[in-house]
Amino acid sequence: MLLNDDLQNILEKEAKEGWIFKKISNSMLKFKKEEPQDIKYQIDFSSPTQEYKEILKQDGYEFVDNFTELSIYKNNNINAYDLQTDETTRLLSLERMFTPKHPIIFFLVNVFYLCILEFFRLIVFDSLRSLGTILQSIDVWCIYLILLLLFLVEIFITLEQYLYKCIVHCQLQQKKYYLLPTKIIEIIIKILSIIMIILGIYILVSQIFDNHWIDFIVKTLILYGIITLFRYMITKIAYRIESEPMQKIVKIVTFILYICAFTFVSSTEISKETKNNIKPYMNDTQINQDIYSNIFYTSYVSTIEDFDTIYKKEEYEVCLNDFIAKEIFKSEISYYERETRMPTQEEIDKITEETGEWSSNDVPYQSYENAIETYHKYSNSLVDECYYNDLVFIARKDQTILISYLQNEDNYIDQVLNHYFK
Amino acid sequence: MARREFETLTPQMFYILLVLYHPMHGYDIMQEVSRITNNEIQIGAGTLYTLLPRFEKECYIELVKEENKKKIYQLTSLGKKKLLMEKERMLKQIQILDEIDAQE
Repeated sequence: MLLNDDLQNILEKEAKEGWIFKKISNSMLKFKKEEPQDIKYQIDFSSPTQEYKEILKQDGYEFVDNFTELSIYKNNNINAYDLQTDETTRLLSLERMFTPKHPIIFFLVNVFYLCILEFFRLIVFDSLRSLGTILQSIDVWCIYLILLLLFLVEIFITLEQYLYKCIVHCQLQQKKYYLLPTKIIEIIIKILSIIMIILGIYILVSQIFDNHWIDFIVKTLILYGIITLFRYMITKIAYRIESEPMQKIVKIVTFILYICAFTFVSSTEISKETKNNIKPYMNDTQINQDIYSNIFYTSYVSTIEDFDTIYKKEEYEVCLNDFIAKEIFKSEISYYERETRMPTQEEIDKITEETGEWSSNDVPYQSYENAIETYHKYSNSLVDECYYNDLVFIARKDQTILISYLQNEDNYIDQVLNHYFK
Repeated sequence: MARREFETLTPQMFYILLVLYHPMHGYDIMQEVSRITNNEIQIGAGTLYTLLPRFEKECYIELVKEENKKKIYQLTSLGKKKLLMEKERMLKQIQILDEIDAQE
């Protein structure tokens, strides 16, 4: 849109129909309905110094709005002279607008992105074992994809800016080779943005299923406010300041404040209470209860972590439908098989051979078919399937899954199943 | 690329430099150019204020003093040289035109 030489004509045509231009932002123009009138609009890229403003005022020009370096002026006298009278000069100032980021900043930003991506990649690729684990970590996948798309968009935008610069430069020599690639890049950026918006909407929706949704909505609103303010400061206020050092200081201060506010708001918890309507079987004064959820399942976890006693944990999962429940059941079987198994010497040797040391995190997961062999089947009419080993039992009934560490009690499994499913 | 910007001067650029033989601030430049060209060439404020810092960067003009926040510029010797080079170029064009015109 910035390149569009017709912008002036559009504004003037709208004014004739009574739509008076008020505001410009990254993606839109804002008009207000008034009396139809003839107004002359001019687009300019000069930084507005005092002297410049006075000259414009003398000739009846009035500042309307700006977006970064692009300022829009209006004049009620349609016979006023143009601000840009020399095409070569206009292209020169346009070219300055499309200067891509400094290579060092571009490099640092991308390294930062790659670090975050790598961090998420480790979590995400760990969950590639089975469909069940992917379903369980769908939120992390979404965040990972959004970050990946942001990274791509960042690169494409830089490329686009570079092409714009080339276009402007080539207009000096009357060439238009670059228009097609720019159009293609624009479309790619749009598609990526749409995917990102869809993923973003998913995350918003999935939060509503969560207990923290009030917390989340309040935070989102505050963060949205901060981002809007930040953008306003950078794109409008900073560019209206005359002296360049001052402009830079304002930009840097705004950026630092923005980072601080963002980290502060996103790290504070507004409501700390979590409602938990699932009563665990175990009786203890120190039960920690947590809820994890995404659109596919909700998991209620009750734990007592005390180093003196045996580890106690009960996990009750409600899934969206039977199919998802079966998939998650499979992944839980292989997850708890690894949790409760002491790795064999062979496995330890293999890990130490590769890395020089070993931790329980390095032990590979077994496939569901292999893992289920190590469990014993337990029959109870209350549930569809139930398996146990020396330490843990896992049961499934329709859409719900129950996992519990075994305790020293008579008929422990029956007791727990009765408690949850009766 | 920066070097090639002012390889040839457009008429607007040419007249801005020309009137700066005498020290002058922005608004006066615009008035003076229209006066000496009998309103044939009007310089827009946007064009003028894009060009002034660039000419200054290229050392064609220099800041003489600042009065009431108005910057007064004057042509440098390099600027004069640039104008004379322009003259040569134009003379050459005219000469070639005359030669071809005479052959017809």
